[in-house]
Amino acid sequence: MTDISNGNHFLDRLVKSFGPAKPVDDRVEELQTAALKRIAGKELPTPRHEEWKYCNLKMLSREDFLPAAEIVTSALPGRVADYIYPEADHHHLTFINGVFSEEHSKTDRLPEGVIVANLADALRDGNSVALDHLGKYAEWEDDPFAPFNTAVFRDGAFIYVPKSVRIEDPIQLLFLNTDEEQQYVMTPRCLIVGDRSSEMTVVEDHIGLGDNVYFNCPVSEIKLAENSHMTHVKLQRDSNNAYHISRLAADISRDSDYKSYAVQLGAQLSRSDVKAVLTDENTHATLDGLVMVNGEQLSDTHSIMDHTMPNCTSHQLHKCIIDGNGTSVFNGKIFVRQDAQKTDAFQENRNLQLSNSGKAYTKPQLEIFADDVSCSHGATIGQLNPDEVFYLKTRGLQESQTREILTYGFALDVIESIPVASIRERLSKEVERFTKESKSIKQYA
Amino acid sequence: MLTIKNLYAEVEGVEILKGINLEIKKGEVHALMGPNGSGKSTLAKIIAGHPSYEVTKGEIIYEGEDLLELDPDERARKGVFMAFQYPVEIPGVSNSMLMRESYNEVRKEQGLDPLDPLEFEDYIVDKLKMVEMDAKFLERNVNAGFSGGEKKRNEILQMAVLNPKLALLDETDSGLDIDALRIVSSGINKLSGEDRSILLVTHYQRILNYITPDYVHVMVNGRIQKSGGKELAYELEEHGYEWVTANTEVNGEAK
Repeated sequence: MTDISNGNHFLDRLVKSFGPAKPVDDRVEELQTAALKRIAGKELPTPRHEEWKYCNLKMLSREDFLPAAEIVTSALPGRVADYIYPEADHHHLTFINGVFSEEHSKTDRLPEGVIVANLADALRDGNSVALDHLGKYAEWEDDPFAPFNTAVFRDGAFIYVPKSVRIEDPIQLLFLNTDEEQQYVMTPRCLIVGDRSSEMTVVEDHIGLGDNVYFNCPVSEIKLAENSHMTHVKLQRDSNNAYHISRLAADISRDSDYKSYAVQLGAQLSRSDVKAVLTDENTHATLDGLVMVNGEQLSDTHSIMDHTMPNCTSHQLHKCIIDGNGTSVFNGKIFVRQDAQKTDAFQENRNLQLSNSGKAYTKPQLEIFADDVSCSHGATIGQLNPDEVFYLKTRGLQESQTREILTYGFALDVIESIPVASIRERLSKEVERFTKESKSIKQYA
Repeated sequence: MLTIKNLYAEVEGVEILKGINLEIKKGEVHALMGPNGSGKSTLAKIIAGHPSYEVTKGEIIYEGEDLLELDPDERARKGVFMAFQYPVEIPGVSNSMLMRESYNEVRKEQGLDPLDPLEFEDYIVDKLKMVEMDAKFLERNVNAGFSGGEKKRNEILQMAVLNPKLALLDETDSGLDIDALRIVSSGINKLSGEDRSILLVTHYQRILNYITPDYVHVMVNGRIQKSGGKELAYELEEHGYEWVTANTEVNGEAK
């Protein structure tokens, strides 16, 4: 696969357009050099590659993108503040087309010692926590996109919550992507470190303001030290013609608890590689997901839940609603290593098909090397239950109304677990909009 | 109110109803009893419009209208209500939201303005008392995590809210303990009256200790084999359904 002689590979083209990185620190430089080397001359994976079987990157490989920092942003909305959740009013970072916007960010009223800053600044200032943890968790494996992000990233978020500090209200990371003529690529990088007994909620919000083509390639790394708690909501509402290829890696220490809720609504092609490593005893990880696809959208989630030590629990409820010619892919691996006795792992993937032409692929993969564990997993693909439809119709509701309600209900039990009211509301509205716009549901009206 | 004439129905090619004749007048309470698999629940579902059953012969006339021509939701808006044997759980949808939307659909049909959430709250207070349910039930998701008894009470609550002309109660009593049965029965009794007809489908005579029917019908093998007054239920309790089957064999065609 590695053919250095051909300089016209997609990633090579992109990397070249970014130009050389400004040296900030030896360690960062080293990391970026290794990443560059990793992808140089490398082709994008094809459907022959098992991990990319249903996620065809051919269209992407033919596109041209300019680094987002180099284009002139012309279509910024009048009120960026409208996109900030009220609970995050005093701590949010805004990135416009991946570029940090100080003007639209606010980080007052944070407890002492808490850092919520542009990652590029933190690295430049030699923040030792940032330098220590950067690049430690998002593994590259066969994936070219995490090293691509690593090689060229500039701005992003750095969050650090010190020992025993609890931030009650959510910190919002807003990624606003504007509607531009020129096609751009951005590589936001987030590094979140929770020190011992810390507590935080982080909302990562990717919003496309138009229906233009762009390439969003974020990487987020999370490190939770002992006895810390984090809730992480990711909402992907990129433009319906955008590409969104992301990697999330969480490293969870003893007695810690990481809960991730990822909602994928936008992009023509979205791919999420998610990995949670439960590195020590008595940890918990949640990787819940909600995917809604319509039109020609494809959304692919590949997850790894890695139980390495005893007495840990994990929860993964991944729900997909497929309409139009949309495709959802779920590949959920759970590893239970030999030492991970008394693991309690739950995984469920449910796919609701609203149309006849949508596709759902699901592949739960459990690899269990310990002998005293409880692992439950299930995967279903189906339509709305006719008995449920009938039940609601006998309550006087029209068929289309009934289908809207049941689809909404299907999606909502993922959303209901999210602890921030305004995020739940926003997501409920998104689900409602999706059901109201569904042609498959409308045909019953 | 409701006239069923020579009704035949099948599901996936299997004949379940084999010539049902039944007349329910305004304000009457009819108990439809029978052993498991006799077709009594099927009859209730067909009246409500369940799409899995195909009516092959006969007719159902409701208030002068051919009921089989109407969709289940149209029937509901015209006053046909069914309490389910197994009420469906709907996560993500609150009980109050469903009931308000349902009731507003019925109101729309009657040419009335819809109720807003506050008006609906006022409207439902008395109904809650009727089935001894706490207002917090309204905020819970429809039947999700409800106990068996709570689900059945919720069905009767929905009936009270929708205020139907014809209520089909499909084994509303089965699986209930005595306390729940008492609450459900008392709710049904409060809701019965001269403007409402009730078809009570049940396997057990027990609920008839609380609700006094005007007529009792016994269904066996897709036919109503015997009809009578409330005393028929006691005879059944004493002799079992075999008694009806045996009698039928002697007498030939059912009454």
